[in-house]
Amino acid sequence: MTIDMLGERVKRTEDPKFITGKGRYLDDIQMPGMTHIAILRSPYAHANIRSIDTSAAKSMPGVIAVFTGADIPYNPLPMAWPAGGVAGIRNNINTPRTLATDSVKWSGEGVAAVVAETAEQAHDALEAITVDWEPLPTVVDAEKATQPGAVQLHENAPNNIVFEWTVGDKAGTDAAVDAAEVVVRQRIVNQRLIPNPMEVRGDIGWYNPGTDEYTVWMSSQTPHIQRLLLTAFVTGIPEHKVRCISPDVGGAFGTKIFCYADMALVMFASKAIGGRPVKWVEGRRESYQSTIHGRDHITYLEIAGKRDGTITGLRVKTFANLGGRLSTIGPGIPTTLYGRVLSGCYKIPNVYCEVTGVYTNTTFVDAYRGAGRPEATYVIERAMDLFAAEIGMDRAELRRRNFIAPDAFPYDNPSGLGTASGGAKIYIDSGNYEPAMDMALAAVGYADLAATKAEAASRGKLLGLGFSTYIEVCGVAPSKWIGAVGEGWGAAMWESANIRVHLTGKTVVTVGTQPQGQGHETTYAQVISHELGIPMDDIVIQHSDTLGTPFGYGSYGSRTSSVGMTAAIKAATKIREKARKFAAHMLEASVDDIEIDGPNYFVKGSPDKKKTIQEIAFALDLGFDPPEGMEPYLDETAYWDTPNCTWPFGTHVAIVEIDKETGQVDLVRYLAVDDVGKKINPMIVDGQLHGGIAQGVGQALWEGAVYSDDGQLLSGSMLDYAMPRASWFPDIELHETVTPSPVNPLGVKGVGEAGAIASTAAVSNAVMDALAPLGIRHLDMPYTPQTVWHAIQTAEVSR
Amino acid sequence: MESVALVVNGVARTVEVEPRRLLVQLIREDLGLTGTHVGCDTSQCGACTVHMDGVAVKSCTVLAVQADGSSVTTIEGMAPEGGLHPLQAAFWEKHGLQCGFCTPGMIMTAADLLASDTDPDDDAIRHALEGNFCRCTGYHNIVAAIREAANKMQVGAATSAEGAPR
Amino acid sequence: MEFSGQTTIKAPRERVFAFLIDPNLVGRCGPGVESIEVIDDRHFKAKAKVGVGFISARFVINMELAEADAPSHAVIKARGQAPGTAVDATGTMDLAPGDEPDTTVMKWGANVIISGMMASVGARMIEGTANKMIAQTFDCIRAKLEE
Repeated sequence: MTIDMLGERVKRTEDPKFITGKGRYLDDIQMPGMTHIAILRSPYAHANIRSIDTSAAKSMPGVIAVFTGADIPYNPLPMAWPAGGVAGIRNNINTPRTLATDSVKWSGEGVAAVVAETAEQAHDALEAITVDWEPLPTVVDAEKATQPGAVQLHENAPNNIVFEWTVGDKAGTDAAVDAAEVVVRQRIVNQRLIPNPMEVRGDIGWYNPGTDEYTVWMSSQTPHIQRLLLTAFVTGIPEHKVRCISPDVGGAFGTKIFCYADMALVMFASKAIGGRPVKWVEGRRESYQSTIHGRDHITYLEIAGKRDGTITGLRVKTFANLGGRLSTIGPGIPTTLYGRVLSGCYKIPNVYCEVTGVYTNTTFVDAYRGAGRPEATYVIERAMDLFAAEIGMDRAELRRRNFIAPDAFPYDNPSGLGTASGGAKIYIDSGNYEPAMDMALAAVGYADLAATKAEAASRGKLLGLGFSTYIEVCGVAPSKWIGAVGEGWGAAMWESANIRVHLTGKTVVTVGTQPQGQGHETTYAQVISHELGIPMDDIVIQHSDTLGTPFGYGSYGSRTSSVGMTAAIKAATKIREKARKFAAHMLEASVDDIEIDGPNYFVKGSPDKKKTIQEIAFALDLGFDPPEGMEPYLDETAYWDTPNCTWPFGTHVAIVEIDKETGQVDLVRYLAVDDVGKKINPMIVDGQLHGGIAQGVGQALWEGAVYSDDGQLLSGSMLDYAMPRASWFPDIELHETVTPSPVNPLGVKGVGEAGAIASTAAVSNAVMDALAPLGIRHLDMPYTPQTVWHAIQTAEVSR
Repeated sequence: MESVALVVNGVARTVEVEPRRLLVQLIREDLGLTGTHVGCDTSQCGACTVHMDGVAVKSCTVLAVQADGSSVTTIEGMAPEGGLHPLQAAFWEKHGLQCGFCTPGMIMTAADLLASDTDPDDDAIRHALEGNFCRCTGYHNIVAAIREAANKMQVGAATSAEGAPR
Repeated sequence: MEFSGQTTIKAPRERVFAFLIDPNLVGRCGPGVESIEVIDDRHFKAKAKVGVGFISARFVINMELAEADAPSHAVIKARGQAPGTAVDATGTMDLAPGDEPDTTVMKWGANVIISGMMASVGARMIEGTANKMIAQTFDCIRAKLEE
């Protein structure tokens, strides 16, 4: 008897190994003859390399080889997502090399590497390498970097500009702003963050001289893509000579999507030393300098409208800091994934956005949980609150008046979603925003806010309530859109799955996606069990190894459930069709007379005359007696290219209390209503929301990467970077509305990023609500006690 | 090289180490017990938490030679092979983990808390986790798991006390 | 970072100056110095182990006597490297006769730029540590001259 587990809170099948210490992360892998590589990184944020003397290091104990950039014939890393596209705007591309050759553009860029018998010996030998540096002036602020006279990083990028990208109707928006009764303007900073998955990155390269093949273990979200990029673009090694494997990945949040120099380095090093495995694992401090950062926008927003609360225009200018060189899809984040959803869930007739991507002497910036959409949500949700305050209207009422109406879908937003895209029609396909907001505000007691504030005031606290009514675009993405030049990889973004029901009835599903804590082994099995009627215990989900899994684009952009699992459902459908044909053969009935109920294939009207799918697999896989034209084995592969993205939405509400004497902000309540469509496993969905919310709250209240003017990362370790702790959070209250996505058979939308997209703006709006009585209109994040205390003092002096 | 003799998960071990070797390196690299993780290099994250003579310590801040003569328990030693400690079971039941990297340290820290406070409230649980970072869960389900384990262990203790001869 | 100070040394100006431009003498007063190698009369190389907070690193430091106007003025420039960390420093010393006979007033200034890992991790502690090390250096110079 099979129990259908789709939609149930099933305990995760991957957990037994993790709770008993038997997970296998990259650094847990030990191999015979394994060597260790350490990378010498630039202390300067900007410098020319005059020469590097490695002679002393070569004779250090345990040292096997020392390399500099000059030794490595590989190409610079690829940049896969140029911004611009339709407008034909030029991208001035500079990407890292395996090791820097002539110059360094940020503090932490690798310049030399030592392979030794132990990691300690490799690190010790770095001390013996001498670099003759020519330090150069630096610039770390994206806005300042574009000003005349600023330090120039790259000859091919005048004024440090990577691209100047625009979206929307400039003339129309200018006219709307000029004609508006009310225009609210604000400069806002979406500060740089360090993503901090608990497992840092690492790679092991192993060259097999016998077969001339490479195996690369990597803590990556995208082993298939890395194999493609490392072979076709970086090393020139034929793709079929390289196998990439992601072992258990200890969190990623975007950081492990990308092609990094160290991946190429371990490949090169293993071959150079004759084929011993070479392991590299970054330290946490090293990670802060060598793995991507997120966000880092400076934005000038203008929101225009009428005194009756009708928003008529949104004009935005953003400087996006992309770092000293470009990461794999750095330019895609502040353009396609930001500018095209700036108007959020509101019907704003005129939207225009300019984004300038900028080089600075900082670590590169790329996708971090939410990637572009948290920044967009922060802009529009702060703008709505600022506008409401300006015209003296309730914040909920203003939103209510401007929501896209439930009968307006499919909705083509004015940020060019529908016109972006090489012929693909990207539109907001569904939504019902007001009920989610009403539910959230009712649950949190919005109507009683004045009394709640008075009660807090009696305890000497400033209480604030803030919310954000967000949408996100996820479930990326139709290949026609994301493949259009300037809108994505210039490649595709379908997914793949293969299902084999073996002789014994045990079922192996291989997929092209790659989990990093999301519980894919459980949720895929729930889906396939539902589709085929095979018990979950008889199904295994295999992933993360280019050998033995079909090509896939990996897991990010909240795409696995909507795109990957739809591919798996397609494969299961093919399995069912073949099983049905063979069941007809076995039961001596016509195919049209075979009905399917879970695992059972029976003749219409005779439920006793049946075969289970596992019995069918046994006979068909043996293949003694297939019908004419049928190949043996229940083995089917499917690919799925989604026709549209998915559009989760909801309302998140935060309540904060501020101690006026210290400026300390406490998050005292957090409540979310999310509509992520149908749920495969609500327990896992809740967990994704919790984590995303915590990361977004972290940005609002505590986190920030800080550089000195000379390009030194001052928040350079976990001592200095405010990683959120358990005691800083209340329990998180989750509610839902369910509007199934129409673009996939499961009706799912994806939930990996929603929490991080919604929560930052909600908390920011709450802090500003608390401070509003003091006449404080806007502060930039994070709202540390110092920032808030200073603002309170300044406000009180000026009153 | 220094000789370090210690008991790990109930088994006596003797390991030759460099004086600078850390306890976490001894556990992971010399003994191959890779359930204890390293998540930072400044003793902030708590992923390397183990018990030394019954007390939770961050094994990245203990030199291997300091553990000479001590008894160390790692995540692998929390329950007999094939069994689960109530905390392990509760983390599974309550979805107290996602990527799993911080989980061993969380469980070891929680076990230390429950050894001294059998019925902690949420505040006490959250404060006990001050030195353990998780980036996946927002801590919500970790707190729920520890609460659940505390409840189960109290019931278990009560049951076994009732069943014990007087 | 800019540091400055003034100290009175019970030694005549000529002796103080001679001490300051002799790498083997002045070098021994540098914080954590383990060895000094004289390249020529204006250049020398030192190895030193320096700790900030919980981080310590072994630096190779190239030093140059950039200005030497006997017996009143000297400038020493230094560039040190450790893995992932660099220090660029300029020390200026101006000597004037003290009020007491056979004493010298030394006004000193130092400009120190620290880059890389030590700057990023030790940032909150670095100014205090650097200040202490510089003070120790000049205390050492005075003590040796007054021996």
